[in-house]
Amino acid sequence: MSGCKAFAITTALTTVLAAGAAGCATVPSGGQVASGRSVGRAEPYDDPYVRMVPVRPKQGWLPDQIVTGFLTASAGFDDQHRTAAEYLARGTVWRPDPLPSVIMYDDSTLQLVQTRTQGDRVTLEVQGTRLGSIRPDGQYEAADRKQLKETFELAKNAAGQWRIVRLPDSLVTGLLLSGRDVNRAFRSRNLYFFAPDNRVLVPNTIFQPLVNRRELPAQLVRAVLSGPTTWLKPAVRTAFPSGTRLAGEGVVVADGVATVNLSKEALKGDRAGMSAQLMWTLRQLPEVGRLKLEIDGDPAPPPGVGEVQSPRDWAHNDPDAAVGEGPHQAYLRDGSDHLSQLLADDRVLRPAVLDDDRLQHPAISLDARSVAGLNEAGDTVLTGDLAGGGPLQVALQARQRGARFTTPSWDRNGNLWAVETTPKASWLWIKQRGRPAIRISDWGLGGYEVRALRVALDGVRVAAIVRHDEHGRIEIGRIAAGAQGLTAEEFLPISAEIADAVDLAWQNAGQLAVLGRAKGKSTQQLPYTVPISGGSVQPIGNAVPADMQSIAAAPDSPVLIGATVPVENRPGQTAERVCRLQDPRDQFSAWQCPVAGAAPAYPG
Amino acid sequence: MKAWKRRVRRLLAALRRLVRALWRRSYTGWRRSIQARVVATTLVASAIVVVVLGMFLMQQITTALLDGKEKAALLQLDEGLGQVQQQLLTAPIADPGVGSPTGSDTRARLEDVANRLKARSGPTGLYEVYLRDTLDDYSDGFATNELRPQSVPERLRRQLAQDRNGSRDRTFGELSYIGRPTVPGLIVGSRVGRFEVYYLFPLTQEQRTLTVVARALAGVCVVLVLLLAAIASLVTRQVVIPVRLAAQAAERLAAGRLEERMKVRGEDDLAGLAMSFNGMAVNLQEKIRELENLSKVQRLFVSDVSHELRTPLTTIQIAGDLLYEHRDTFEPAVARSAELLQNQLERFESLLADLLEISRHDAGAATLDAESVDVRDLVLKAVEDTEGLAENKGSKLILQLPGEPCMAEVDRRRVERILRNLLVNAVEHGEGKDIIVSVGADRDAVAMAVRDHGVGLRPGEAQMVFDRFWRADPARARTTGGTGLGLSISREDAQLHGGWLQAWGEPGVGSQFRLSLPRAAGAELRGSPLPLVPPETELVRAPFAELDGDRP
Repeated sequence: MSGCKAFAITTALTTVLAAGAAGCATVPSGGQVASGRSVGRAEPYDDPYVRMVPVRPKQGWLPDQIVTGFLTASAGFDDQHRTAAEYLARGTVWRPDPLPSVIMYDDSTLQLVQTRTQGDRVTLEVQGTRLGSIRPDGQYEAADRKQLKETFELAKNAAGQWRIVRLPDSLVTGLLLSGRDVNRAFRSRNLYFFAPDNRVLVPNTIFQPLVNRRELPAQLVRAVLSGPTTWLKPAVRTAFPSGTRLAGEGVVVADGVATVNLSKEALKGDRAGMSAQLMWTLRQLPEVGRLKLEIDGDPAPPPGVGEVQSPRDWAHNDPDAAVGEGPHQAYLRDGSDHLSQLLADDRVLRPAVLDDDRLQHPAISLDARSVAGLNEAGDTVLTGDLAGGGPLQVALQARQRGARFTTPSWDRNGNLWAVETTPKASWLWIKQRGRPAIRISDWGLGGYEVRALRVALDGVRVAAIVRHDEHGRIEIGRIAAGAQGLTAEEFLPISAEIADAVDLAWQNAGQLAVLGRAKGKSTQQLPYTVPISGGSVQPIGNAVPADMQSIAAAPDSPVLIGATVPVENRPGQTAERVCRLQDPRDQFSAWQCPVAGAAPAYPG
Repeated sequence: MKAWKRRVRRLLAALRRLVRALWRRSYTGWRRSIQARVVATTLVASAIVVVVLGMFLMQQITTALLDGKEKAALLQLDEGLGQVQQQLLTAPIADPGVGSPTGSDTRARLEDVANRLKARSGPTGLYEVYLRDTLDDYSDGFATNELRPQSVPERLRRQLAQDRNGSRDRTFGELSYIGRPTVPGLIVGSRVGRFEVYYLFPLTQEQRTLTVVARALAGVCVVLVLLLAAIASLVTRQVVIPVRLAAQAAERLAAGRLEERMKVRGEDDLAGLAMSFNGMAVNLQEKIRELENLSKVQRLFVSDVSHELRTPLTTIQIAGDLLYEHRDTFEPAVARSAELLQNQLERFESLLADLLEISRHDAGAATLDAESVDVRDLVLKAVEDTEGLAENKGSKLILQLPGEPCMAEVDRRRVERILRNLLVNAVEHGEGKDIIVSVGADRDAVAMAVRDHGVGLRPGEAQMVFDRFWRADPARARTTGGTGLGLSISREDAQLHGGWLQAWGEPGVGSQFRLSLPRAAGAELRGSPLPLVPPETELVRAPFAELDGDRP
């Protein structure tokens, strides 16, 4: 009887519950407005990417098909190139992982030429145009469209299939990839190393294959531990003692905290320096918010900082920190050729501390105490003391007849840099504070005409526009201490997209603002941001004024352009104007030229 | 090792014992308690119902969730197909291999499409895309992110190859990734011309949702089942408690407390039960009272008859005595009659005296005239009285008396009567063999035992000897002319003292009667100083006839 009753109750309760659940299961169609923050930063590291799926060699493929298949399959990085390795005969040595050296070719120019058939061996030559290469340490080098010639030897294996028995020497630890393959499979990443003064960090851009997103933190840390690329090595220092490796589980990222476990060798190193390098390198990843340093499994907090470090602890190592934060004071040559400050409301203020402040292309030192500029002829660099006043002094005098100076540039140590250049050659002038200026003839760009040279805020890298075949090419060099003291050397072209550059400025540690012409896109000079890493360039603003001569940029500050624009209501007449974006925060807003003047400059 | 094994074995044994004990306890609980049975049944039944309902609900939710996902997936696929159509099919396609040897123009464009499609997936990775050109010899298409192309199951590829151009297929499978664990996923695909387009949707979010729902559902189910069990327990309590009360009342009634009644509450079925129970109790009480009255009347009648017979008997006795005294003057035959008359009159008189005595006991009029005496004296007196009779029978009376006095508060007359009775019986049934009379005493009690070695008692007779007018052998002639009431009266006398009178006997071995009395009149008797069964028979270990004496 009671069992029956209980059953009835069960049924009733279930019905009520089901009815209630049915009533609750509706989506709200009204209610309060809930606001929330963006869930995650949109980082290039988390951009979806595309992988090519390689295929195995098919039955009965001819030698040229095998080589074609091998070249195509080597663009697939899955499982340590296991698929591509199937194109090789057994015993052929090929070690492309984990860090391959890559030769990049132009896809449209590639040809396979069967050069020789000797018995059962066939030799094939791959011909094409070289676009560039990536060294095993990740350093990218653009090549001057050199001719590519690599020979492959093939033979039939036991199953009667053609296989590659000998690779060209350059490919034993490397890959031959098309530009498209590299774009697809490689990503540029920044490693951070210390400038020689051990204060500022310098980004070192490397190219790494996209292998596994989860492995990326460890991949980055390993790259930092293995040191800067050969290009930057003489110019920077690393805080890690040599031989430092990852120990134990390596890098573990949990709840936004990256725990990096270093081997015993790190005990000798400077913990603060190591932490700063790791923090700056790892903070590029959206999942890493803080850092915990361990050495041989034991927590190793740097002095003065807690066990869990945040990026704020190492903000003073910012590569852009040399001139402080926030918008920087801009200077210009005003309408009457005097040095003036550009105020935020577009007004112009003349400090007038100097007896005579008429300077072409003024450059202000980072501490804003000194000014340098060219005379009207451009063959003399004049300097003045903005704090003390007085007359302008001749700092550098061109020695070559017909030579002229580029716009001078100050580095963060107060050294003045300028290039004396003729269409055939150039000489680097360095004036260190309190010492006589030195003139270096065998520097990195000694044999070329240099249109502009700017020292980066970190004082380690230098950007230059070099004339090659009537075109201005952007190159980045390093500043290192040579036999005669400082020198700039090892210039590498960074972007193949800008065909002809006129002027440039460092926007921040990773980007240049360039006035130039993009290849195949425009015939007009346009302002672009050019990433040092070799990524794609972005135009700045629209409705660009016609004739631009100079560009100025600084971290967190609006980009300024000196241009010659037609005067309103007076056709045929032009005037020199300084232009800025209508809305400095919006890269696509229109250019406006409200200020009369020329040659805008930020300190540096 | 061995010790360890032993310990394990011991542990196992303990565990087994525990389980068995638990099982036994629950089994008895199950058998004894309606409540436990109802609650258990409800638990099982409701658990089955709830589990079935929960599974059904879960399936409904899963289906609804996946249906929505499938619809969204097919829409996404349509968009991808549009892209492929626009970018690859409408534009003229160069043959693979034309252009450059390694990269066909089509492949580059396929990659562009893949790039465009992956960009729509967004950083959250809502889906992965896998594009494939079936005519490209050198590449197996493009996959996004870490997705492995093996994630597209072979059955879907086959189906796609068989299907008409542009039809959409879908299936569920495992998405495998490079360097990440596989996740369940929904895979939709379609073929446009030579191109295959697959969209792979990880179902991790759906799985998480379902897990949350399942957990919630399981929690609700458990609570529901427990709730139902609690309700069943509550409901059965309402029924079981009155039933238990009724059982208790019936038990008390059975124990003789006839005034026991049940409380009647309300007008429901249980109230009906209580009322009929009470009616039954009233009827029972009335019947028993009637019977009691009837037996009282009977006893009164016997007592009255005995009294009434006394007066005429006295007259007859005087007359009989007269006749007996003058028997010498009669003829021999008449003289013999006078002798017989005298005999039977004596017998009649003792019978009447016994009847009176027993009716006095029945009426509760027997009183104890207790005084402190040495029991040994009483025994000696009784033995003296019966010695003559024993000699006649050829029996010898052997006394086993303790050395010190055995003082007890007893009614001298009654105890003498009991002893005499026992001795006479022993002589009568002793077949001329020895009769042993023993006395024992301890702190609280004294005991007297009379042992004969006669025919003994058959099983069951040790009780019956105390019944009124019982005879061991109805055919046997009574030489001593016992009334058949002697042992009954003796027992009544013993009980009046608060003592026991018990018999033991075995055929062919003899019998023993034991009288145990408390030393203080009215005190409770806990044990007897003498054994009921003679020790020598215990040693022989003959099969016991009767051990159970009648303990009041």
